Amino acid sequence: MSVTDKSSGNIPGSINLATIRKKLAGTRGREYWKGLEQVAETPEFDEFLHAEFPRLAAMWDRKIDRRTLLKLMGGSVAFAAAGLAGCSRPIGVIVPYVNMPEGEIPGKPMYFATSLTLGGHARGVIAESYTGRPTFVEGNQEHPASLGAIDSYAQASVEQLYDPDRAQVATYRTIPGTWSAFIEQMGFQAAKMKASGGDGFAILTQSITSPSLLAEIRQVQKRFPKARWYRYQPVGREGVDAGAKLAFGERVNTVYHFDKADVIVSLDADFLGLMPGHLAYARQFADGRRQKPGKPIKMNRLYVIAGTPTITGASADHVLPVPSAKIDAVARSLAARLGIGAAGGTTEAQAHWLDAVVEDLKKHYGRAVVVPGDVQPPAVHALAHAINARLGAVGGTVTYTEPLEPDGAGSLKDLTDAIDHNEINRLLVLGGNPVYDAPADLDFAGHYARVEERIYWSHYPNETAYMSYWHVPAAHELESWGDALAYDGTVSLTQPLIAPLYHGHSAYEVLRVVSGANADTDYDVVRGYWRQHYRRYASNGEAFDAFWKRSVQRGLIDNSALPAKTPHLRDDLASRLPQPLFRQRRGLYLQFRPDDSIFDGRFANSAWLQELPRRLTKITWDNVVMLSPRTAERLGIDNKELVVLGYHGREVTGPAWIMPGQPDNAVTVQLGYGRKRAGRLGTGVGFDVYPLRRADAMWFDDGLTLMKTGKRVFLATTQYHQTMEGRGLLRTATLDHFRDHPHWVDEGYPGKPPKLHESLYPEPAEKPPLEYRWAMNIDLSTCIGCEACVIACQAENNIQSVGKEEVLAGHEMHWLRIDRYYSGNMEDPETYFQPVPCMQCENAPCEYVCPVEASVHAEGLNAQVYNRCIGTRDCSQNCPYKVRRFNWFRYQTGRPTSTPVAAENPDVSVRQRGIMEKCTYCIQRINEAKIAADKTDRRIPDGMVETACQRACPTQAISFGDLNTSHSKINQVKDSPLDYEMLAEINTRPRTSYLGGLTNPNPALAKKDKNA
Amino acid sequence: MPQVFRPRANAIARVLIIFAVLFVAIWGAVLWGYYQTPYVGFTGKAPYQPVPFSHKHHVGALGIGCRYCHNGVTKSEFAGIPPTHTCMTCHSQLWTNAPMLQPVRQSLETDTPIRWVRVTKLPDYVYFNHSVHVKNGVPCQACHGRVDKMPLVWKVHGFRMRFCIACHLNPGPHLRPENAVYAMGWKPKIDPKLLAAKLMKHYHIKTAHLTDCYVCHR
Repeated sequence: MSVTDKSSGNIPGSINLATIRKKLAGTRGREYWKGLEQVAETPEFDEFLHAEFPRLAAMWDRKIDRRTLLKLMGGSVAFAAAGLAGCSRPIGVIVPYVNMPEGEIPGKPMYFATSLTLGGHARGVIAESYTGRPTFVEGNQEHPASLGAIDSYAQASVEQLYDPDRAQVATYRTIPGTWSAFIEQMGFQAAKMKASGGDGFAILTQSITSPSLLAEIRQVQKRFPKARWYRYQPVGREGVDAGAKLAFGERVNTVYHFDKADVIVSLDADFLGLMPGHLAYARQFADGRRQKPGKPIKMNRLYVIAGTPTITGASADHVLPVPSAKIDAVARSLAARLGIGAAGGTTEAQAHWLDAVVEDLKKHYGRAVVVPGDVQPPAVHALAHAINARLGAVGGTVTYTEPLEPDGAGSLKDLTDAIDHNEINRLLVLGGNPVYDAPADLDFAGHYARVEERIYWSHYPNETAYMSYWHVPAAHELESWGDALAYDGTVSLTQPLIAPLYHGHSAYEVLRVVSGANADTDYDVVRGYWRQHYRRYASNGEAFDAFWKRSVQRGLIDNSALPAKTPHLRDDLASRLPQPLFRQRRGLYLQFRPDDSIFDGRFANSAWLQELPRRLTKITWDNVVMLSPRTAERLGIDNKELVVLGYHGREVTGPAWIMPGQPDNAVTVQLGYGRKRAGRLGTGVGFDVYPLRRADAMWFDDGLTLMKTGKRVFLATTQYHQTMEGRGLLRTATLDHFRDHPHWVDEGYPGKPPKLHESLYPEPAEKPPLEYRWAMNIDLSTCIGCEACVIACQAENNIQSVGKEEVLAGHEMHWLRIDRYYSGNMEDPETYFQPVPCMQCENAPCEYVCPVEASVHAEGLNAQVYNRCIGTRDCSQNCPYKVRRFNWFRYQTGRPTSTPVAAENPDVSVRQRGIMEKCTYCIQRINEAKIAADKTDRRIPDGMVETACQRACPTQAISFGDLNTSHSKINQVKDSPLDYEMLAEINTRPRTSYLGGLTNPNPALAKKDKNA
Repeated sequence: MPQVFRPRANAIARVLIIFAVLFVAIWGAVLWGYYQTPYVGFTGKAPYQPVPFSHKHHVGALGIGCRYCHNGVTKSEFAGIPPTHTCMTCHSQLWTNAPMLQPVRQSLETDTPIRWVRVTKLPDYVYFNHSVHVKNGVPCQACHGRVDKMPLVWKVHGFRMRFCIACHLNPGPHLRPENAVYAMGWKPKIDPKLLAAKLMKHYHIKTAHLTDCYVCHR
């Protein structure tokens, strides 16, 4: 029943780009389209328009062969027999503690501040634990890199913790071994190594900012002076470091302050999506876009020069699609206009665009900032530093600190060269998965195989583990002690919430064992390190124990952010810049990007992340080859057609995806897929693009060829599911339009709610009156489409993943979806996001049609009573917002995609097959607050209840609260003239409303066709 | 064409209809009756426990309060089952060699919890919170019965939804003053109706939305 390898001609979604272009040319003003299929009016789009679950009938046609049928029949007979034997009634058991830990109250969760890292950079989180079992993480409000928000990767850490595919025991040549055998063997070898001073010994790590782990590595280097240290990270930031060296002659860490910026120019930087500190940056950026009641109408302006569409580009007021390789030239031209160096080659349109941007930048001296992207080469970074200095940004919108990572580690290329020279005979790989994710031209696997002794420490028995002699399972970050730096240098502490589930060990232990030192625990090492170094941060005369307790409790060391410094910009920078890149292009540009969901491949085995729709394409369980419409047209490539990417003699095949807003001649592919040994879920999902990666072109290069195959595949995109006919669902305008027409959200749209008592039916008012009237508002100006809310909702509410085939049938279960809309032409459209949870209608259409009153009003909310539901799906059919989800199969247990039972939230029912479910405004959190308030005979104070999506949101776009509390935050937000309700005209009286989206385009760059 | 049904078909039809009605009625009555039995509600029968802990002795005779062991009851949704250490506060001094207490000593020695058999269980889709009930004057006895008279604990009520709803509609008669919530066999000294009204006011209980689905189901 495989879907991917069907190569039939009847796969929906074939589109004719010429027709679309003609149709879009005819659109005027703000008309929104969801995707190319909509504009082309393909049968696929129409299908989803007319039926909620269009592929249902097709499921009858699934072929079952004789063997499967017999297997199933045999199985059911066996189960029936087993069922009879189990006729006696089940006995429930209560298992109390022998000695209850202090402060523990069974039934009540405990919360611990800890931190999780991505690419070495820490985000502070608060982890929730039910009787010693971590179930949920949310942002730590006191942590500067989190500010209470969380990203999807951190949210999925709980699922990863319980992943049954994690490495479970230490293995020697893939045969299970023991930790003590490992210690014994390593001790023996370390003694031998000691004699030679560590000659031939090397350590390969990922990016490390952890002060204690770096100290450990220094210890090893001291013990073995000839030992070497190499560092490799597939999503690395080499350009950032090299750029700083070029500009200042030294490495620095750049920290941006978007809250102080009025004009922001991004040179291919996805600072809202992936850069270190992105959660804090998103908050700062959004604060500059939010319209506050009673304050003057004001907004920052974001220009993005984008190599490929990102959520940063989607939030921008102006996007200039330029292949990543040509951004070097654009940056030079931008700098030249500010009097730095010589211009690069730009087209006339680009020059016009840049003129307007530079004018705007100059006008905002001191309140402007240019952000270079991590994927860009050193020259762009150096130029950005120079431009920022010229714009008076340094010290204001940009500050510099000491680098977070020390120098002194070799690159992966240095390592393979050393192996070539037979200089390495013992290699310890600490984390990462270099056999899978190293650039192909280095042939790391081939080199690794030649190292005599290969020791590997990681979470999964993956590609590298398979090639290693010793493989030691890593303890998860929720299972071990540690520390790491946040983007601004704040020391963030990691503490375990649970003892390692699978014989995992920390990097400290492995490093110590391999180097023959005392195998101290991670706790001893980390605490020992800080005992020596705490005085810098401790308040006067504070004892270490008090300091440690306070810091662990807060999850960070207070006031440890690195102080700002002012590096000296080289005067002769312009002459030092390397030659501009790619003056003559050969073939197409090939661009790599970390994946929105699985990053560099490390999260490939996470059902939550694999099923989380990718931010812009809304594709699940796959990666694609992104092409611009014009390029696709020129090459005659159809959407979802398999294409062969040829580059430096290597070939990779993947499905094409025609991406509005993609620069012409640039082809973007996502890292992390096509894993061979990822686990039950991740193995074989998508196609692997690492074979195309080269050490000298980690992010982009020219010389790519594309070849049609004529075969098309199914891609499980959620974009056309639950589509609603355009009725003013999404409302956006420019800031100037808002100034002139403060009530534009109500003008020209059909959505006026009928007046009270206009209908013959009684009004749905609650009698007797409710104590609380919960309501939500989502600000479309600040929603950046990062999908953190979607996965937070999934984690909080026990929402199941369903797998690619089910998503193809429209059966995905996310209660909260983010609709993506485009407006304008295909080449550089404006992009908008609109999160759609349940509207909690006061006059809910779903309630009238339920035959068993499972869909009823309860406490003023639109409740779904699972134990009453019989699964007629009438409610879903009658829901105008299409926010109800049906359990078509038994998703909750027994499937590889099922959420591990231990990760489920005990406060929420786990729904069974045949049950309708939906957003409840996190009723479990409301009830918890209500019980707490009831016990003290008080009302719930404003802000005490936060829904999971609201808490996760990096930009605080979601407001939630009680309408009956006067002056509550939600009342203030809803008083905004921008507030509007979706489909209000059908008299549903939704509690969820939106603030109309505002953009702040530069009048000098206004598009002619725009009337608003 | 001849008649399909003969005259006696009428009689047959009548008899069949009567039988059908009786069949449904009798089966209905049997099933309803079966549903009321203690067997279905798990009531009236004390399951075997690894240690024959007697509430009758500890609560009834010795007068140990409920919260000494079930100390989560005021703070959490779960009243809590005491850890082995709680038993050992006394039994490290008393009956230190009683064979009956061997499992308790063994639990402490081997650091293995005692696996008590559950007596009271609600379905997974019901979210009952002990703390809010005792805080609002619902006594232990209202649901758990005269525990002080049970050698081994059994379930007194079947805990069907109507049991919960009856109280949520009209909690007054079940309430007790704050000092009598944990008492067993407490009797009001004033007119129960008067007391009910007084306590409803005292605990600020409003029943208007107390039977909304989301109160117990989520």
